[in-house]
Amino acid sequence: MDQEKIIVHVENLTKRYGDNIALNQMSIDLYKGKIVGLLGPNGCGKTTFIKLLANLLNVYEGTITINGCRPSAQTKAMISYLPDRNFIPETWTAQMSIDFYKDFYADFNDKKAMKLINKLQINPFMKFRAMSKGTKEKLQLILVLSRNAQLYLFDEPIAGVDPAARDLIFELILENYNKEATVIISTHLIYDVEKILDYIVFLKNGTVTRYGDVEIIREKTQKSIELLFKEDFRC
Amino acid sequence: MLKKLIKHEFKSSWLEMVIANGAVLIITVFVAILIRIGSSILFQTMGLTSLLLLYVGQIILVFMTIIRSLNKKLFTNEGYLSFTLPVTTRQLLFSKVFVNVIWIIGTALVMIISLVIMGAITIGGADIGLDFIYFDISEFASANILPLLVLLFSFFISSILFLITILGVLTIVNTGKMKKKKLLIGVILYYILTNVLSWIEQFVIIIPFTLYYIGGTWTIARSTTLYSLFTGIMGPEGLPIINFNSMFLEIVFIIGIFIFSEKMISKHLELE
Repeated sequence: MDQEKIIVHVENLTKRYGDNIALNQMSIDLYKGKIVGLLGPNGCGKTTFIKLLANLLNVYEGTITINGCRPSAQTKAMISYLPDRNFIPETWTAQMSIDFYKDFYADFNDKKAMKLINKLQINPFMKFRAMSKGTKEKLQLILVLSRNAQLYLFDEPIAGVDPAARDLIFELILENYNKEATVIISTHLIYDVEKILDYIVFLKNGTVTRYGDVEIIREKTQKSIELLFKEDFRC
Repeated sequence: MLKKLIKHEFKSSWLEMVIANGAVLIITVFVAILIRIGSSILFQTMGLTSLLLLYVGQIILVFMTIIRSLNKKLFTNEGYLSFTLPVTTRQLLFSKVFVNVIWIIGTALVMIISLVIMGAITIGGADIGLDFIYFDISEFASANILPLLVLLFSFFISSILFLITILGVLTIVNTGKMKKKKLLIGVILYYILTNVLSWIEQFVIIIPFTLYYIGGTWTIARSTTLYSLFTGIMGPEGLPIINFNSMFLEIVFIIGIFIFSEKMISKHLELE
């Protein structure tokens, strides 16, 4: 593919936590307009990789570029990131969160956010701490999806939610993300996510074990991604 | 972006600060009225003591609010929101220090206003001689505007140093490998750091001048004695107001600790 179509370029990326190697000589290119599954068991380095892209971790060996730029304040403006935990202050309401996002992100669409909040029947004036676990996750997802970002990072968006909520989350992501952007979804729940992926990256102990276009992999191996995952990560 | 950061920092902290400081002013009026109408000296002394305790409580509350807010927004889950904003770590830290310095100065002003209110309400009505508060403060302030501004600037520098030291300690505690007893380690670190800074201020003499208040006039004089050079507590003849050596070193510490915190957070912060 053309260089111009690459949004994330990673070369020989190694990340250490003391003596532990979280990512080991990782090299991948991710393309614009694709939905990428970052797949692997817990502790394989998925969150570390996403944090490096989000510029939450700054010390590493190797190269990372996002749209040709090293992770910085500039790339943060291009990335819409959903961490695997609640990050909205407990005293805020949905309306306050929207005002905050609107102020800081030029690509934030507050009308879209309000529309989604109404659609999902979230009280815009309820404090975050008073919301249920599911409502908190929905609100955070709405904030992330209401940006017209170039790269979306979803770290375990379906972990800890029931199957019905998982469908809703995927529905929200698919209906609302910027179609020219790249979406990276990290998860270990392959069955739920396989149907929406264009690309996959299998991570095992910080090393990429399999990576490429989902259709091509399926065609080559004559196996589903879920089956391949089970084979690759069997203990 | 810095303006927006400052705006949101104010938005997220104004309510707690207004409540803490507003309560002091309201209680001051209440205590002052009680002192004025109270018949016994014991009653009036108790009122004044409770007001002093209120000031101590106010200072503790404001400082705890600031420390909690810094820790929460930078080093807990809220850090995921703060550090993914399209701003630099420097801008983020600057906005927090700036806003909290304003709150510290605001709190100091509220305490002065509270004293003035106390003096104004109790004029002629209290037996324990509170009139001096009102008269002395008003008289002193009207006669010494410029030196007071210099004093305010000195207080401003000290407030920044306090905040930066807190930030530095929080940074060390949260960027190291410490997982437990962070509060205890933080308190010990703060104690050590402030003492080290204080020793440096006493023994590193770069600008040996002090602003003195001598016989009703303000004079900048060379700190000639060893004692005044080191401590600034006693001047040649009058009361030393600002030790320029200490102020200079405080500014150096502020810049140094700020850069240290910025680098540590940028390089070593790993939000859990």
